[in-house]
Amino acid sequence: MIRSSPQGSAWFLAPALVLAALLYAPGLAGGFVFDDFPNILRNEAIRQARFDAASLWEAMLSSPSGPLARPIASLSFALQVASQGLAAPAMKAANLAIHLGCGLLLFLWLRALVDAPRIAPTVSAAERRLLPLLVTTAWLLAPIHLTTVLYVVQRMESLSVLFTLAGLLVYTRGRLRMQAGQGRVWMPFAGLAVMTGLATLTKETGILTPLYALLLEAIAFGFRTGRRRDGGVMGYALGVCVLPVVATIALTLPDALSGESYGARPFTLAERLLTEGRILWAYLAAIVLPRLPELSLYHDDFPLSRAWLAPPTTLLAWLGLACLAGLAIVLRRRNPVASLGLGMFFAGHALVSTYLPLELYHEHRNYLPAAGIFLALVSGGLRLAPRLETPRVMLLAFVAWLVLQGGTTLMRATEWSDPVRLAYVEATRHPASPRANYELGLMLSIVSQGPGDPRHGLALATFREAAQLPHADLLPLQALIFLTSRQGQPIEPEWWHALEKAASQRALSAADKSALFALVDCVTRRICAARDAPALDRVLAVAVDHHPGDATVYAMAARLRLHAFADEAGAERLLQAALAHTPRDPELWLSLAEIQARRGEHHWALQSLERSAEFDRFGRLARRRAALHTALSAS
Amino acid sequence: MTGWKSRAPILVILLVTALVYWPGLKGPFLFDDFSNLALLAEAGRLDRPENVIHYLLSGFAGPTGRPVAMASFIPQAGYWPDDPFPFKGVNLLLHLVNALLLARVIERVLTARHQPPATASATAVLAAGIWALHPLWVSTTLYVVQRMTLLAATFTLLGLLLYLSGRAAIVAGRARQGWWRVIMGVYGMGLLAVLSKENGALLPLLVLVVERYGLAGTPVASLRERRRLGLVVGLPALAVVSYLASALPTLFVGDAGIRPFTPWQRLLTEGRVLWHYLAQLVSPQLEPGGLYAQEIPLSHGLFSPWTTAAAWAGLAAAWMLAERWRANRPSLALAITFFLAGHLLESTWLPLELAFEHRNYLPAMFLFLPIAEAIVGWNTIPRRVTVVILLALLASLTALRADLWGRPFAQALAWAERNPDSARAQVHLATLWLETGHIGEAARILDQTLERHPKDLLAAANRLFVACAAGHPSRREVDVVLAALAAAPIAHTVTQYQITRVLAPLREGRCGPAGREVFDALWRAAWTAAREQPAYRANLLQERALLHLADGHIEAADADLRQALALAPGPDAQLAAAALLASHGAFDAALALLDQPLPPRRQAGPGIVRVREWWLERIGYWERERRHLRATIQTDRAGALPRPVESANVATP
Repeated sequence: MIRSSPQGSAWFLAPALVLAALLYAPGLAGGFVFDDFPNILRNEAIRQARFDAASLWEAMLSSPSGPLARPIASLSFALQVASQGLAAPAMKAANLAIHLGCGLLLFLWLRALVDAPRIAPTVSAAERRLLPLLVTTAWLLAPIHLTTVLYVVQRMESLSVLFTLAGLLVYTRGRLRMQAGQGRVWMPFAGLAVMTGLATLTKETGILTPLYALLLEAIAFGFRTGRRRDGGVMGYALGVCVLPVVATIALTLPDALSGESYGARPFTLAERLLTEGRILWAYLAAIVLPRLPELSLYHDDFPLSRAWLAPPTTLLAWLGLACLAGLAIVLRRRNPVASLGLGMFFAGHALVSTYLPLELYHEHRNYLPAAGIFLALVSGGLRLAPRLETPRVMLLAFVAWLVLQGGTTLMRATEWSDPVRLAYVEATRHPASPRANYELGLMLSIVSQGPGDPRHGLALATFREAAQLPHADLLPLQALIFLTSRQGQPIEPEWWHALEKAASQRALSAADKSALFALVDCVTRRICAARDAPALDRVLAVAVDHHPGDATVYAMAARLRLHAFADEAGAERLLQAALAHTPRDPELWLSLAEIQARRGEHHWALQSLERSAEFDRFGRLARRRAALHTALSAS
Repeated sequence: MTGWKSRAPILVILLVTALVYWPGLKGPFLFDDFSNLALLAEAGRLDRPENVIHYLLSGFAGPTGRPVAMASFIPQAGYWPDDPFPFKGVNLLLHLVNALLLARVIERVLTARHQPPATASATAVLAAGIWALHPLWVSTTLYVVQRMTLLAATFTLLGLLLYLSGRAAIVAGRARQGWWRVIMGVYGMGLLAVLSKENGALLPLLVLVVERYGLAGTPVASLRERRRLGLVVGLPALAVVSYLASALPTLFVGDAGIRPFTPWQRLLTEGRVLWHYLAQLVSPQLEPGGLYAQEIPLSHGLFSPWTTAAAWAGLAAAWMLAERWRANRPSLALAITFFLAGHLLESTWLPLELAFEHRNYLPAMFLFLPIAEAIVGWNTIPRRVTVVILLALLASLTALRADLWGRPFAQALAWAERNPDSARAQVHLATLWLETGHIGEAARILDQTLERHPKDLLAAANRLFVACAAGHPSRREVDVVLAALAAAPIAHTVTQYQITRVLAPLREGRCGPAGREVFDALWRAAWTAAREQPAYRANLLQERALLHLADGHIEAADADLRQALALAPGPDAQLAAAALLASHGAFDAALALLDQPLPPRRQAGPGIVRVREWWLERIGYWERERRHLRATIQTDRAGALPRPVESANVATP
């Protein structure tokens, strides 16, 4: 793959790769954070992954994230756990390797891109030689990618982008071969389709790969082969690129518009759309001129836009974005590289920063879009340089800019080298962020030696503070109860009241439910004191009453009834009620079958088992079902 | 055009079709499967030729009894009722055969129009491919009892193929060979098609449609041969049309009979139904509605709703366009008229249910020919990509739908969601909830259904059983069943079947001691309602006799059975009654009943029943069965312990 070419050998990239590795190295020592817990640490299928097909298959289907469960990312975690155990440094090192791999692919792709028929005539020899190298170097060193690289679970993002870049590379090379009169029209599209599939099964944003390709085709190739418009290319583009995009919109838009999916978010669809305009500018600032204090894992304290003029920057932001988009269109003939770069930024945000009911702000969403911004910037700089009186100024400016990017990355990586330090820094920078404060409390409680340790008291104080913040979820309250109950100390009644109030007055977010689940788990595993079970039972009863459509709440309540009170009949009733609301949940059906088997309702249990099989499309629960089936046939 | 290269496309299409249907084959038997396939076990072991003939003659779906379709179930008889897979597998095989035949028929039509062989073959494969992969046929292919529709289509296609090849032979001057094929096609295959399902009778009419609209530009050269062909095909076509016309007067009588609509209302409604079908064919959906069609609102007049007139005007306009196009755009003309003609029997005024997806199976066969022709004719837009996208889209829809058909509960959920107004869909879902102990959910669904359809017997009865499962049937649930029973058309066999389905579990103690009282109340209500249905009254008496036998009241049971025989005499009923008594240890009563002279065969009934009676009498079937039964009972009585008599060979047609 690496070979010398007029655009410069790939070996020229080696220093940038080594430099990036060195800058990130301090961060490899850090630990797991936030979403690593539900996806990896608390995920039994991944924790206990072994090198056998059944175990790996279960692990692949085990992630609670995203509608497609991201099986390839999970597989990569499972393989690593199976071979190296559950060690954060090794996992971060693998993430770093993926980052460097992405850099290499980006370089190779850009090197092919500058030969595209609509781009080659617009770039000078110097641009041709320098553009791929400079863009890739900047991209490799940029601190905005730090959360993608050192945050283990974000391998989902980087691995998906790895496949996307491979798809773009295969596509561009295939199209260049066609220009040279070699290769068949289906080849680039077949490669693109395969890579799109892999990228999408790593993280759903991989479905944007065809959108990038469409942009690339429109700007760099113009749907032409030689001088003629190519019907074959247009046909395949329709099938391989347009169709998935249209299908994605058709599958996701109605749900977002229905309003129901926004229920658990502290913002509405309109508010999200308004706010994202300002957030995109925040991203642009962080990409172009990163400042350490602005970069963070947590942005849940980003102020919402409530209307076009509240705050007024909302309107300004959107006008600015319109200008940027206009610029991309104006430039598409004169400077197609810059146009493509801006287009990539918009394309990359088309899904995650628009109508979907996701959280507002995440730096890792810029992993590939940032490459587009760098492409536009570097291309602009390279064009400007020859016109300056002393082009060397541009070189100096570029080096200074790289030092800024790389230096910030190094400082961030150092912050990340120690989980407690990281949590402390984040909480100080984002005093209003419930997440950052919760995480600090969590880290303090993990390192504390028990009630005598001052860090224990500090952890409790941090959780108390976090619980009071606006838009706080139930995680801090859960942590307070967890820590206190584990020590056998009495729980403050207000905490239970606060939980009951939340359960009765607002929609429960995923974080809220995971907090409740953690408490149920704590009680059923006898980590928390048994005398706290009735209070938790009351909270869950309130939650069941107020969220009649939410199966997970019923399932939690059932789990508590079964394990803390040995109330099989009550658990069965709750599970049945949960299934009446979400009859297509294979895990609920299996849990019901297990309880029915225990209660001796064998005919029902067998039928429930069948239902579970009907909805467990990939056999994730096959082993558990087989075990129960054997037990039922034996008795 | 021989060799692998030319056959590869159709083989790929057949393979893909088989693959997308595969997950659906593990689905269960459904609804009408049970009553129709039950015959497989009733005629006795099917390794004796007499039993086989008896079985073939015992079909009750339609006036012919559909013996060819019945015969097609025999090879899978060993799997009834445990394993639906082989039954559905054969259905799939027939669908594939039909796709292959359709491609051949279309190719024949196009070559008769002097199209170049390569174009004709490509067009034919594409048109047949679109049809084969269309998701609308999932409910035909994966519903075992629709074997009848599939087989009728197979023979209709074979008939068309033979006709077309015979016609080509006549044109080529090989008249003798040609005529033989035409006659074999129209009469031989026509007969087999009718004996698969009555719709097969349309074959000669469809041949005429192909000739007039599909081949208008290239008629058979000589006038003499043309007249002869017209005669050979026209006579049976005329017979079908006159049969249909003979039912025309019902349009003006306004008698609804056993249906909730009059023939006139049905005819009006069907205009809209046809457009509804066309919409589903043009924009295929994932699960358009399954097997339920109760949602289509009835047309009461040409303008209520106004779409009725619009629908019929549209159909008339389509026909007129077909007339105009038949010289220049024969494929379009053929697509329109074949669709209309194919619906002539089932979608006009004969008093059948309003709509079923499977009714389009044959009529839609040429519908995609104009599309295929257009695509093959393109030279600017990339053809291959379009074809692949189109077929892949259809295949994935079919795959998703077939997959749903392989998952009974998921399917019931989808049906209930798509048909919130269909009592049958809701009841079906409720019974599945009951299987996993979800008594509350089943009750909720049934209560909701009864709110919308307070007189639905099935929903009312199931609500009663749900109450029993919860342990306390109340007066309210019983009253709802009684009210539904009072409103149900007792003359309708479906109603009678439903009432029996309610009585049997009550008799077997499903609702405990309270169930007996409910049995009595229901029984009396049904008995009173059925005062003009002696045959059904006999049926009710048998049910009560079973109850008496379970209680050990032999004399009461004997009296009921004798009264039943007086109401509906028949050798079969008499033997069955004797066997029943004997199986409960009442040997003397059984022998006494057996010694009474067997009543003569029945006089009335549709064609197939008479044939069956005549045949059974001819081979002395009943006398032989009587001897066999008497011997068995005497042996049993001689034995120390009274034990059940083996009565497998006593038929209850």
